[in-house]
Amino acid sequence: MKIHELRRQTYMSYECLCMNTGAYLGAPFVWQTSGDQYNRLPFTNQTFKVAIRKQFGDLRRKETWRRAAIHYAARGVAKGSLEPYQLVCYMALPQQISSPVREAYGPEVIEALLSYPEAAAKIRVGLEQLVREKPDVAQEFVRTYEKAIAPQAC
Amino acid sequence: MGFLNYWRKREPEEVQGSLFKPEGKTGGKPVINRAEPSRLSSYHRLHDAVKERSDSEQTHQVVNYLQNLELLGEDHQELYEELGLSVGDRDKLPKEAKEALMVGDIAAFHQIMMDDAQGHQAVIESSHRGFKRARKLFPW
Repeated sequence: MKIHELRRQTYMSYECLCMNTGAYLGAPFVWQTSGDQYNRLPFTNQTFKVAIRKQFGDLRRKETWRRAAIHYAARGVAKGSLEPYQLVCYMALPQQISSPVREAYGPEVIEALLSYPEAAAKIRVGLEQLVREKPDVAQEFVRTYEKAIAPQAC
Repeated sequence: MGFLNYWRKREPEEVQGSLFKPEGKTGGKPVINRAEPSRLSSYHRLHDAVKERSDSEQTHQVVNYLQNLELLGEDHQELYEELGLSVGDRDKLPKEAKEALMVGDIAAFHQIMMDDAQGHQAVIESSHRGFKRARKLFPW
């Protein structure tokens, strides 16, 4: 991923997190602003830039943005308002729900996501929802992980 | 022009099974989906449409947030806190609140279809408009 795209994705996740936790964003939300203005926010929002610099360091380096994008993608999903089954799909079936950061840095995002107790608690509810409400997706899940979850012959 | 007209003009791909066995049990007639709608079925329909039109999970999150904001009110975060829930635990809300969310799902879905919104921002704007329209139905 290019550094600009990483920055944009980090901003989108950061915005979701602020929105869902009621934290101060320091700029208008996506539905309160026009397209051009919204695209400039990752570069102009001071609150966001200060937070990233404090946590991850120099904003000119790509590594900073890679780490920030992974951290906020995971945190945004863990503390966010997705239904539990969507969280399961985000982790296990990216063809159902995904984001560019999840596609590029999947394992790291999942590892970060599992460190949040909220996310782990939702997995069970999510699997139940899948079996009850979306049998086709549940079957896809079983097909994908058949080898991993089948009892091993020893 | 009522539902009958809309239903007759459905897109062919919505006709289940016709692709695989046109002369099957039903004798070539379209299969009617008579499933009872539920909160999650309307939710799936909205979010499947969102998924087709935007590739970011953040779009889904913003749509859900705006739905809470418009249909449950400005103080929805306090509501979740008072019930001891996190923002993702919509299945544990009271029945009336879930009904309101369902109406929101349906309104937003049709608004997105009507506007033919594409992309993160356009989908959010359309669904917001749908939620605002649904909001007017409720006494709170």
